[in-house]
Amino acid sequence: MQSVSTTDEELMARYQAGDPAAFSELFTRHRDRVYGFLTQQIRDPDRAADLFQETFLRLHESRGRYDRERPFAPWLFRICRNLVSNEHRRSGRSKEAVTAPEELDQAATQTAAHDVLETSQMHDQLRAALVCLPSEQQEAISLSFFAGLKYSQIADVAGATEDAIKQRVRRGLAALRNRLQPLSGDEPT
Amino acid sequence: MDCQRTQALLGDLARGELVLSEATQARDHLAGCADCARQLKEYEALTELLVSAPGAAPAELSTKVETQILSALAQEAPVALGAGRWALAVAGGLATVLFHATVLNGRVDTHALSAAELVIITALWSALAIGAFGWMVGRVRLRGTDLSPIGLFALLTSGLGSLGLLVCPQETYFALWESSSASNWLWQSVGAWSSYAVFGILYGLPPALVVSSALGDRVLPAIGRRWLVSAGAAVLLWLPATYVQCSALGPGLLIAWAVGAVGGLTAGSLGGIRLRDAVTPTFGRMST
Repeated sequence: MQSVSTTDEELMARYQAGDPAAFSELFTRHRDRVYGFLTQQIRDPDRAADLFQETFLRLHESRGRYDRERPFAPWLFRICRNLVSNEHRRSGRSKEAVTAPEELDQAATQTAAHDVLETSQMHDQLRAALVCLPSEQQEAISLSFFAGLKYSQIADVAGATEDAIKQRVRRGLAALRNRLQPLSGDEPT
Repeated sequence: MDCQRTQALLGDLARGELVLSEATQARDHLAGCADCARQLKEYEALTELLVSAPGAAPAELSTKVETQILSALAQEAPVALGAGRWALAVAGGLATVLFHATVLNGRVDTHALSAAELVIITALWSALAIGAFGWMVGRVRLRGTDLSPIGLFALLTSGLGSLGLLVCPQETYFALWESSSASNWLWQSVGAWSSYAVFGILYGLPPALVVSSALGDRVLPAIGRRWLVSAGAAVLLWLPATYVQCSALGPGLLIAWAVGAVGGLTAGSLGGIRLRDAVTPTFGRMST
Protein backbone atom coordinates (compact mmCIF):
# COMPACT_ATOMS: atom_id res chain seq x y z
CA MET A 1 0.00 0.00 0.00
CA GLN A 2 1.26 3.45 -0.90
CA SER A 3 1.78 6.16 1.65
CA VAL A 4 -0.76 8.94 1.43
CA SER A 5 2.16 11.36 1.19
CA THR A 6 3.42 9.76 -1.99
CA THR A 7 2.79 12.18 -4.80
CA ASP A 8 1.52 11.28 -8.22
CA GLU A 9 4.85 12.34 -9.64
CA GLU A 10 6.77 10.00 -7.34
CA LEU A 11 4.44 7.17 -8.24
CA MET A 12 4.92 7.95 -11.91
CA ALA A 13 8.70 7.78 -11.49
CA ARG A 14 8.36 4.35 -9.96
CA TYR A 15 5.93 3.31 -12.67
CA GLN A 16 8.45 4.43 -15.26
CA ALA A 17 10.97 2.17 -13.57
CA GLY A 18 8.58 -0.77 -13.89
CA ASP A 19 6.90 -0.83 -10.48
CA PRO A 20 3.42 -2.37 -10.95
CA ALA A 21 2.23 -1.28 -7.50
CA ALA A 22 2.91 2.32 -8.44
CA PHE A 23 0.76 2.00 -11.52
CA SER A 24 -2.05 0.41 -9.55
CA GLU A 25 -2.00 3.26 -7.06
CA LEU A 26 -2.02 5.87 -9.82
CA PHE A 27 -4.83 4.04 -11.56
CA THR A 28 -6.87 3.88 -8.36
CA ARG A 29 -6.37 7.57 -7.74
CA HIS A 30 -7.34 8.74 -11.19
CA ARG A 31 -9.63 6.19 -12.80
CA ASP A 32 -12.87 7.75 -11.53
CA ARG A 33 -11.80 11.24 -12.51
CA VAL A 34 -10.84 10.09 -15.98
CA TYR A 35 -14.06 8.16 -16.30
CA GLY A 36 -16.08 11.11 -15.07
CA PHE A 37 -14.46 13.44 -17.55
CA LEU A 38 -14.93 11.01 -20.42
CA THR A 39 -18.55 10.21 -19.68
CA GLN A 40 -19.32 13.90 -19.62
CA GLN A 41 -17.46 14.59 -22.83
CA ILE A 42 -18.52 11.45 -24.72
CA ARG A 43 -22.21 10.70 -24.59
CA ASP A 44 -21.93 7.13 -25.83
CA PRO A 45 -21.04 5.02 -22.76
CA ASP A 46 -19.40 2.33 -24.87
CA ARG A 47 -17.16 4.83 -26.60
CA ALA A 48 -16.39 6.45 -23.26
CA ALA A 49 -15.33 3.05 -21.95
CA ASP A 50 -13.17 2.53 -25.05
CA LEU A 51 -11.50 5.88 -24.52
CA PHE A 52 -11.03 5.13 -20.84
CA GLN A 53 -9.08 2.04 -21.83
CA GLU A 54 -7.24 3.93 -24.55
CA THR A 55 -6.27 6.70 -22.14
CA PHE A 56 -4.46 4.33 -19.83
CA LEU A 57 -2.91 2.42 -22.70
CA ARG A 58 -1.53 5.70 -24.04
CA LEU A 59 -0.33 6.55 -20.57
CA HIS A 60 1.49 3.25 -20.47
CA GLU A 61 3.03 3.59 -23.91
CA SER A 62 4.17 7.15 -23.41
CA ARG A 63 5.20 6.95 -19.77
CA GLY A 64 8.84 7.10 -20.79
CA ARG A 65 8.30 10.60 -22.14
CA TYR A 66 6.72 11.91 -18.95
CA ASP A 67 8.79 14.63 -17.33
CA ARG A 68 8.48 14.16 -13.59
CA GLU A 69 9.31 17.78 -13.00
CA ARG A 70 5.82 18.56 -14.20
CA PRO A 71 2.55 17.68 -12.45
CA PHE A 72 1.08 14.36 -13.42
CA ALA A 73 -2.66 15.07 -13.51
CA PRO A 74 -2.55 17.68 -16.30
CA TRP A 75 -0.34 15.37 -18.33
CA LEU A 76 -2.80 12.50 -17.91
CA PHE A 77 -5.75 14.67 -18.80
CA ARG A 78 -3.96 16.06 -21.82
CA ILE A 79 -3.81 12.50 -23.13
CA CYS A 80 -7.46 12.12 -22.28
CA ARG A 81 -8.43 15.41 -23.89
CA ASN A 82 -6.58 14.58 -27.10
CA LEU A 83 -8.52 11.35 -27.37
CA VAL A 84 -11.76 13.20 -26.77
CA SER A 85 -10.87 15.78 -29.41
CA ASN A 86 -10.10 13.04 -31.91
CA GLU A 87 -13.38 11.35 -31.08
CA HIS A 88 -15.32 14.57 -31.57
CA ARG A 89 -13.62 15.17 -34.88
CA ARG A 90 -14.39 11.64 -35.96
CA SER A 91 -18.04 11.51 -34.93
CA GLY A 92 -19.16 15.13 -35.06
CA ARG A 93 -19.88 16.86 -31.81
CA SER A 94 -22.86 18.98 -32.83
CA LYS A 95 -25.03 15.94 -33.35
CA GLU A 96 -24.49 14.85 -29.77
CA ALA A 97 -25.12 18.28 -28.36
CA VAL A 98 -28.49 18.51 -30.07
CA THR A 99 -29.84 15.09 -29.23
CA ALA A 100 -28.46 14.39 -25.81
CA PRO A 101 -30.36 16.94 -23.67
CA GLU A 102 -33.74 15.83 -24.90
CA GLU A 103 -32.94 12.19 -24.29
CA LEU A 104 -31.60 12.91 -20.87
CA ASP A 105 -34.49 15.15 -19.92
CA GLN A 106 -36.87 12.43 -20.92
CA ALA A 107 -34.94 9.89 -18.93
CA ALA A 108 -34.89 12.25 -16.00
CA THR A 109 -38.64 12.78 -15.97
CA GLN A 110 -39.18 9.03 -15.95
CA THR A 111 -37.05 8.58 -12.88
CA ALA A 112 -38.85 7.53 -9.72
CA ALA A 113 -39.01 9.83 -6.72
CA HIS A 114 -36.93 7.60 -4.54
CA ASP A 115 -34.13 9.46 -2.74
CA VAL A 116 -31.34 7.70 -4.52
CA LEU A 117 -33.03 7.99 -7.84
CA GLU A 118 -33.77 11.61 -7.12
CA THR A 119 -30.07 12.27 -6.84
CA SER A 120 -29.59 10.35 -10.03
CA GLN A 121 -32.26 12.48 -11.63
CA MET A 122 -30.48 15.63 -10.57
CA HIS A 123 -27.30 14.28 -12.10
CA ASP A 124 -29.12 13.50 -15.30
CA GLN A 125 -30.49 17.02 -15.38
CA LEU A 126 -27.04 18.35 -14.68
CA ARG A 127 -25.58 16.38 -17.55
CA ALA A 128 -28.38 17.51 -19.81
CA ALA A 129 -27.66 21.10 -18.85
CA LEU A 130 -23.94 20.62 -19.31
CA VAL A 131 -24.18 19.48 -22.89
CA CYS A 132 -26.08 22.64 -23.71
CA LEU A 133 -23.10 24.74 -22.75
CA PRO A 134 -20.51 25.83 -25.30
CA SER A 135 -17.92 23.09 -25.65
CA GLU A 136 -15.14 25.16 -24.10
CA GLN A 137 -17.24 25.78 -20.99
CA GLN A 138 -18.19 22.10 -20.81
CA GLU A 139 -14.60 21.09 -21.00
CA ALA A 140 -13.45 23.62 -18.42
CA ILE A 141 -16.16 22.58 -15.96
CA SER A 142 -15.50 18.89 -16.53
CA LEU A 143 -11.79 19.32 -15.97
CA SER A 144 -12.46 21.46 -12.93
CA PHE A 145 -15.12 19.46 -11.14
CA PHE A 146 -14.92 15.96 -12.58
CA ALA A 147 -11.17 15.78 -13.01
CA GLY A 148 -10.43 17.99 -10.02
CA LEU A 149 -7.83 20.14 -11.77
CA LYS A 150 -6.95 23.66 -10.71
CA TYR A 151 -7.40 26.57 -13.07
CA SER A 152 -3.70 26.69 -13.89
CA GLN A 153 -3.69 22.97 -14.67
CA ILE A 154 -6.77 23.25 -16.85
CA ALA A 155 -5.08 26.08 -18.70
CA ASP A 156 -2.13 23.78 -19.29
CA VAL A 157 -4.32 20.96 -20.54
CA ALA A 158 -6.58 23.11 -22.70
CA GLY A 159 -3.85 25.36 -24.06
CA ALA A 160 -5.54 28.54 -22.85
CA THR A 161 -4.73 31.24 -20.34
CA GLU A 162 -5.73 30.84 -16.72
CA ASP A 163 -7.94 33.91 -16.95
CA ALA A 164 -9.72 32.47 -19.95
CA ILE A 165 -10.35 29.24 -18.05
CA LYS A 166 -11.69 31.15 -15.05
CA GLN A 167 -14.11 32.98 -17.31
CA ARG A 168 -15.25 29.75 -18.93
CA VAL A 169 -15.90 28.11 -15.58
CA ARG A 170 -17.66 31.17 -14.15
CA ARG A 171 -19.89 31.60 -17.17
CA GLY A 172 -20.58 27.90 -17.33
CA LEU A 173 -21.52 27.75 -13.66
CA ALA A 174 -23.78 30.76 -14.03
CA ALA A 175 -25.52 29.14 -16.98
CA LEU A 176 -25.89 25.84 -15.13
CA ARG A 177 -27.29 27.62 -12.09
CA ASN A 178 -29.89 29.31 -14.23
CA ARG A 179 -30.84 26.08 -15.97
CA LEU A 180 -31.06 24.00 -12.82
CA GLN A 181 -33.15 26.37 -10.67
CA PRO A 182 -34.13 25.86 -7.93
CA LEU A 183 -30.91 24.37 -6.64
CA SER A 184 -31.08 25.05 -2.92
CA GLY A 185 -34.78 24.75 -2.31
CA ASP A 186 -35.30 28.50 -2.47
CA GLU A 187 -37.16 30.34 -5.13
CA PRO A 188 -35.05 31.45 -8.06
CA THR A 189 -34.27 35.10 -8.57
CA MET B 1 -17.32 44.81 -2.70
CA ASP B 2 -20.67 45.36 -4.43
CA CYS B 3 -23.29 42.82 -5.52
CA GLN B 4 -22.10 42.63 -9.12
CA ARG B 5 -18.50 41.91 -8.18
CA THR B 6 -19.52 39.49 -5.44
CA GLN B 7 -21.86 37.55 -7.70
CA ALA B 8 -19.11 37.19 -10.28
CA LEU B 9 -17.01 35.44 -7.65
CA LEU B 10 -19.66 33.23 -6.06
CA GLY B 11 -18.78 30.17 -8.12
CA ASP B 12 -15.13 30.42 -7.12
CA LEU B 13 -16.08 31.10 -3.53
CA ALA B 14 -18.31 28.04 -3.39
CA ARG B 15 -15.49 25.77 -4.47
CA GLY B 16 -12.75 27.50 -2.48
CA GLU B 17 -10.84 28.90 -5.44
CA LEU B 18 -10.67 32.52 -4.22
CA VAL B 19 -7.58 34.02 -2.66
CA LEU B 20 -7.98 34.95 0.99
CA SER B 21 -8.35 38.70 0.45
CA GLU B 22 -11.09 38.29 -2.17
CA ALA B 23 -12.85 35.63 -0.10
CA THR B 24 -12.82 37.90 2.95
CA GLN B 25 -14.25 40.81 1.00
CA ALA B 26 -16.92 38.60 -0.51
CA ARG B 27 -17.84 37.15 2.88
CA ASP B 28 -18.13 40.66 4.32
CA HIS B 29 -20.56 41.57 1.57
CA LEU B 30 -22.53 38.33 1.95
CA ALA B 31 -23.03 38.98 5.65
CA GLY B 32 -25.20 41.97 4.79
CA CYS B 33 -26.77 40.92 1.48
CA ALA B 34 -29.49 38.27 1.56
CA ASP B 35 -29.76 38.04 -2.22
CA CYS B 36 -26.07 37.32 -2.76
CA ALA B 37 -26.07 34.91 0.21
CA ARG B 38 -28.96 32.99 -1.37
CA GLN B 39 -27.10 32.83 -4.67
CA LEU B 40 -24.04 31.51 -2.85
CA LYS B 41 -26.16 28.67 -1.46
CA GLU B 42 -27.23 27.86 -4.99
CA TYR B 43 -23.64 27.80 -6.17
CA GLU B 44 -22.69 25.58 -3.23
CA ALA B 45 -25.52 23.20 -4.13
CA LEU B 46 -24.39 23.24 -7.75
CA THR B 47 -20.80 22.56 -6.73
CA GLU B 48 -21.88 19.64 -4.59
CA LEU B 49 -23.93 18.28 -7.45
CA LEU B 50 -21.05 18.63 -9.89
CA VAL B 51 -18.52 17.01 -7.59
CA SER B 52 -20.80 14.06 -6.94
CA ALA B 53 -21.88 13.68 -10.55
CA PRO B 54 -19.18 11.62 -12.23
CA GLY B 55 -19.59 8.44 -10.22
CA ALA B 56 -17.13 5.61 -10.16
CA ALA B 57 -15.66 3.87 -13.14
CA PRO B 58 -17.36 0.49 -13.56
CA ALA B 59 -15.53 -2.19 -11.63
CA GLU B 60 -15.41 -4.58 -14.55
CA LEU B 61 -13.93 -1.96 -16.85
CA SER B 62 -11.42 -0.85 -14.22
CA THR B 63 -10.28 -4.39 -13.57
CA LYS B 64 -9.92 -5.08 -17.27
CA VAL B 65 -7.80 -2.00 -17.93
CA GLU B 66 -5.64 -2.38 -14.85
CA THR B 67 -5.01 -6.05 -15.62
CA GLN B 68 -4.12 -5.20 -19.19
CA ILE B 69 -1.54 -2.62 -18.18
CA LEU B 70 -0.06 -4.74 -15.41
CA SER B 71 0.25 -7.63 -17.82
CA ALA B 72 2.04 -5.44 -20.36
CA LEU B 73 4.30 -4.11 -17.64
CA ALA B 74 5.21 -7.61 -16.49
CA GLN B 75 6.10 -8.67 -20.03
CA GLU B 76 8.42 -5.77 -20.62
CA ALA B 77 10.89 -6.83 -17.96
CA PRO B 78 13.08 -3.74 -17.93
CA VAL B 79 16.75 -4.42 -18.34
CA ALA B 80 18.70 -3.92 -15.16
CA LEU B 81 22.21 -3.44 -16.40
CA GLY B 82 23.49 -1.96 -13.16
CA ALA B 83 27.21 -1.38 -13.11
CA GLY B 84 27.46 -3.32 -16.34
CA ARG B 85 25.94 -0.50 -18.32
CA TRP B 86 28.67 1.83 -17.16
CA ALA B 87 31.25 -0.67 -18.31
CA LEU B 88 29.44 -1.01 -21.61
CA ALA B 89 29.30 2.72 -22.04
CA VAL B 90 32.97 3.17 -21.28
CA ALA B 91 33.93 0.25 -23.49
CA GLY B 92 31.77 1.52 -26.31
CA GLY B 93 33.17 4.99 -26.01
CA LEU B 94 36.76 3.81 -25.89
CA ALA B 95 36.21 1.54 -28.86
CA THR B 96 34.84 4.43 -30.83
CA VAL B 97 37.70 6.66 -29.80
CA LEU B 98 40.14 4.02 -30.92
CA PHE B 99 38.33 3.71 -34.19
CA HIS B 100 38.49 7.44 -34.71
CA ALA B 101 42.11 7.66 -33.80
CA THR B 102 43.15 4.87 -36.14
CA VAL B 103 40.86 4.28 -39.06
CA LEU B 104 39.44 7.73 -39.44
CA ASN B 105 42.62 9.60 -38.79
CA GLY B 106 44.64 7.33 -41.03
CA ARG B 107 42.37 7.91 -44.00
CA VAL B 108 42.02 11.65 -43.86
CA ASP B 109 45.68 12.52 -43.91
CA THR B 110 45.45 13.80 -47.43
CA HIS B 111 42.59 16.02 -46.43
CA ALA B 112 44.02 17.18 -43.16
CA LEU B 113 41.70 19.46 -41.30
CA SER B 114 42.93 22.58 -39.63
CA ALA B 115 42.91 22.88 -35.87
CA ALA B 116 40.06 25.37 -36.07
CA GLU B 117 37.96 22.97 -38.14
CA LEU B 118 38.58 20.19 -35.66
CA VAL B 119 37.64 22.39 -32.73
CA ILE B 120 34.43 23.44 -34.44
CA ILE B 121 33.60 19.86 -35.32
CA THR B 122 34.37 18.71 -31.81
CA ALA B 123 32.22 21.40 -30.25
CA LEU B 124 29.36 20.85 -32.64
CA TRP B 125 29.53 17.13 -32.31
CA SER B 126 29.65 17.21 -28.54
CA ALA B 127 26.79 19.65 -28.28
CA LEU B 128 24.61 17.65 -30.61
CA ALA B 129 25.49 14.38 -28.97
CA ILE B 130 24.88 15.56 -25.45
CA GLY B 131 21.77 17.45 -26.46
CA ALA B 132 20.27 14.56 -28.35
CA PHE B 133 21.02 11.98 -25.74
CA GLY B 134 20.08 14.30 -22.93
CA TRP B 135 16.73 14.92 -24.55
CA MET B 136 16.37 11.23 -25.11
CA VAL B 137 16.80 10.26 -21.49
CA GLY B 138 14.50 13.04 -20.43
CA ARG B 139 16.77 15.59 -18.85
CA VAL B 140 20.20 17.14 -18.88
CA ARG B 141 21.24 18.19 -15.41
CA LEU B 142 24.43 19.97 -14.63
CA ARG B 143 24.01 19.53 -10.89
CA GLY B 144 24.70 16.22 -9.24
CA THR B 145 26.96 14.89 -12.00
CA ASP B 146 24.09 12.98 -13.42
CA LEU B 147 25.45 12.36 -16.87
CA SER B 148 23.95 9.04 -17.70
CA PRO B 149 25.95 6.18 -19.15
CA ILE B 150 24.54 7.18 -22.48
CA GLY B 151 25.76 10.69 -21.97
CA LEU B 152 29.15 9.34 -21.06
CA PHE B 153 29.15 7.28 -24.22
CA ALA B 154 28.33 10.38 -26.21
CA LEU B 155 31.03 12.37 -24.50
CA LEU B 156 33.69 9.75 -25.09
CA THR B 157 32.59 9.20 -28.63
CA SER B 158 32.47 12.77 -29.70
CA GLY B 159 34.80 14.71 -27.48
CA LEU B 160 37.65 12.30 -27.03
CA GLY B 161 37.35 10.94 -30.52
CA SER B 162 37.82 14.33 -32.01
CA LEU B 163 40.47 15.13 -29.46
CA GLY B 164 42.35 12.08 -30.63
CA LEU B 165 42.28 13.47 -34.14
CA LEU B 166 43.53 16.78 -32.89
CA VAL B 167 46.47 15.80 -30.74
CA CYS B 168 47.85 12.59 -32.17
CA PRO B 169 50.28 12.57 -35.08
CA GLN B 170 48.43 11.34 -38.11
CA GLU B 171 51.44 9.48 -39.35
CA THR B 172 51.39 7.28 -36.28
CA TYR B 173 47.88 6.10 -36.89
CA PHE B 174 48.36 5.87 -40.59
CA ALA B 175 51.35 3.62 -40.04
CA LEU B 176 49.40 1.60 -37.51
CA TRP B 177 46.57 1.16 -39.93
CA GLU B 178 48.84 0.27 -42.82
CA SER B 179 50.70 -2.27 -40.74
CA SER B 180 47.51 -4.03 -39.84
CA SER B 181 47.09 -7.26 -41.72
CA ALA B 182 43.36 -6.99 -41.22
CA SER B 183 43.21 -3.61 -42.86
CA ASN B 184 45.37 -4.75 -45.74
CA TRP B 185 43.15 -7.72 -46.26
CA LEU B 186 40.11 -5.51 -46.08
CA TRP B 187 41.33 -3.00 -48.61
CA GLN B 188 43.17 -5.25 -50.99
CA SER B 189 41.09 -8.39 -50.97
CA VAL B 190 37.55 -7.28 -50.37
CA GLY B 191 37.53 -3.88 -51.96
CA ALA B 192 36.44 -0.43 -51.15
CA TRP B 193 32.69 -1.07 -51.18
CA SER B 194 32.98 -3.74 -48.55
CA SER B 195 35.02 -1.35 -46.49
CA TYR B 196 32.33 1.24 -46.90
CA ALA B 197 29.86 -1.24 -45.51
CA VAL B 198 32.08 -1.92 -42.52
CA PHE B 199 32.52 1.78 -41.85
CA GLY B 200 28.86 2.42 -42.40
CA ILE B 201 27.81 -0.19 -39.92
CA LEU B 202 30.35 1.02 -37.43
CA TYR B 203 29.16 4.58 -37.79
CA GLY B 204 25.50 4.05 -38.32
CA LEU B 205 24.59 1.13 -36.15
CA PRO B 206 25.78 2.13 -32.67
CA PRO B 207 24.05 5.49 -32.36
CA ALA B 208 20.93 4.29 -34.09
CA LEU B 209 20.83 1.25 -31.85
CA VAL B 210 21.24 3.31 -28.74
CA VAL B 211 18.69 5.92 -29.74
CA SER B 212 16.04 3.57 -31.00
CA SER B 213 16.41 1.11 -28.17
CA ALA B 214 16.03 3.91 -25.71
CA LEU B 215 12.87 5.08 -27.41
CA GLY B 216 11.50 1.73 -28.37
CA ASP B 217 9.42 -0.50 -26.20
CA ARG B 218 8.48 -3.28 -28.52
CA VAL B 219 5.34 -1.48 -29.58
CA LEU B 220 5.37 -2.02 -33.28
CA PRO B 221 2.55 0.39 -34.21
CA ALA B 222 4.57 3.21 -32.72
CA ILE B 223 7.72 2.32 -34.56
CA GLY B 224 7.22 4.89 -37.32
CA ARG B 225 7.58 7.88 -35.06
CA ARG B 226 10.53 6.38 -33.27
CA TRP B 227 12.23 5.74 -36.56
CA LEU B 228 11.82 9.34 -37.49
CA VAL B 229 13.11 10.66 -34.20
CA SER B 230 15.92 8.15 -34.02
CA ALA B 231 17.00 8.78 -37.56
CA GLY B 232 17.10 12.50 -36.88
CA ALA B 233 19.19 12.03 -33.78
CA ALA B 234 21.53 9.62 -35.53
CA VAL B 235 22.05 12.01 -38.41
CA LEU B 236 22.79 14.86 -36.05
CA LEU B 237 25.19 12.76 -34.07
CA TRP B 238 27.17 11.39 -36.93
CA LEU B 239 27.02 14.09 -39.52
CA PRO B 240 30.47 15.44 -38.63
CA ALA B 241 31.95 11.96 -38.85
CA THR B 242 30.30 11.40 -42.16
CA TYR B 243 31.60 14.70 -43.41
CA VAL B 244 35.15 13.85 -42.42
CA GLN B 245 35.00 10.35 -43.78
CA CYS B 246 33.41 11.30 -47.05
CA SER B 247 36.28 13.65 -47.73
CA ALA B 248 38.52 10.62 -47.83
CA LEU B 249 36.32 7.74 -48.85
CA GLY B 250 33.74 9.34 -51.08
CA PRO B 251 29.94 9.28 -51.14
CA GLY B 252 29.72 5.51 -50.93
CA LEU B 253 30.07 5.89 -47.21
CA LEU B 254 26.75 7.68 -47.04
CA ILE B 255 24.97 4.67 -48.45
CA ALA B 256 26.83 2.37 -46.13
CA TRP B 257 26.06 4.62 -43.21
CA ALA B 258 22.38 4.56 -44.06
CA VAL B 259 22.41 0.77 -44.19
CA GLY B 260 24.04 0.62 -40.79
CA ALA B 261 21.63 3.13 -39.35
CA VAL B 262 18.61 1.23 -40.62
CA GLY B 263 19.99 -1.93 -39.06
CA GLY B 264 20.51 -0.17 -35.77
CA LEU B 265 17.06 1.35 -35.80
CA THR B 266 15.44 -1.96 -36.50
CA ALA B 267 17.41 -3.84 -33.90
CA GLY B 268 16.87 -1.18 -31.28
CA SER B 269 13.18 -0.74 -31.89
CA LEU B 270 12.43 -4.42 -32.03
CA GLY B 271 14.84 -5.42 -29.32
CA GLY B 272 13.13 -3.41 -26.64
CA ILE B 273 16.33 -2.88 -24.72
CA ARG B 274 14.75 0.08 -22.98
CA LEU B 275 17.88 1.90 -22.00
CA ARG B 276 15.74 4.80 -20.99
CA ASP B 277 14.06 2.79 -18.28
CA ALA B 278 17.37 1.35 -17.29
CA VAL B 279 18.74 4.79 -16.45
CA THR B 280 15.55 6.05 -14.83
CA PRO B 281 16.23 4.65 -11.35
CA THR B 282 19.54 6.47 -11.37
CA PHE B 283 17.81 9.78 -11.91
CA GLY B 284 15.20 8.88 -9.32
CA ARG B 285 17.80 8.34 -6.65
CA MET B 286 19.60 11.51 -7.56
CA SER B 287 16.50 13.64 -7.27
CA THR B 288 15.79 12.57 -3.72
